[in-house]
Amino acid sequence: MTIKKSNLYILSFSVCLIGYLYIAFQFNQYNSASVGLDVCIFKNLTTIPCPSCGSTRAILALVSGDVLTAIYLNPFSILIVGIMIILPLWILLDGIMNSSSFYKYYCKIESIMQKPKYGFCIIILVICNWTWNIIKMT
Amino acid sequence: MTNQKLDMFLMTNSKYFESYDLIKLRNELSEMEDSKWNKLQILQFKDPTTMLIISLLGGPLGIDRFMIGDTGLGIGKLLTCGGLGIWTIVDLFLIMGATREKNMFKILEAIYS
Repeated sequence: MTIKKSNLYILSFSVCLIGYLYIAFQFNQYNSASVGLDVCIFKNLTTIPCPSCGSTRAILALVSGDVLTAIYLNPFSILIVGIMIILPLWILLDGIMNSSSFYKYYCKIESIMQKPKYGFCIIILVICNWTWNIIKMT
Repeated sequence: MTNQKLDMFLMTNSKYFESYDLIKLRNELSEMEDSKWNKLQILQFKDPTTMLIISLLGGPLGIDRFMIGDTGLGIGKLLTCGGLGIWTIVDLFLIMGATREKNMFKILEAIYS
């Protein structure tokens, strides 16, 4: 029940690329002190923040070295930054070495997360973060 | 398996599969042993239209991807506010095809297991 290898590589690489462009754009806005672009569809539709709202500001805080603010704004930002740094390097390394270690690792992680006990933990974590997010923003 | 039974199965379940997969599926089913027939009939497929509705409502949180079994992509979508809103819109067009592919994978798995 997993996607094709080439699709996964193209998708994850383009998501990372768009992420970097977005962060660069926001960083530019942040420095010029004007109002940034608000892209979250969920927040724009319902005015309630989604579980990962605040991660842009958190990543910008991380870039300027403020880890505590980043964790306060959204703890997921640490995970996102980790993924965004490691993923493109891993994909490039796989391309150079002509191996499929990233794909194998992804399949392994996915099969672990599909087990109910791990899935349940992840859902609880996401809901906790969501509740905290809603409390913070109101 | 009789032809009539096979055609009946394909007619009732054709909406769950891609049109180009149907001929392949028909060949696979006609070569299948009769003992697997009962197992095939209790298989549950995901409805592409339902998935489209879920994608409209829960797309920004990645619920559609979680439901069809792409847990990894679902988490990716959840962590990035639905891929900054772009992935959500792209998935509105892709989710029906992805669901049909998952269904095809499921039935092939049942045939060859």
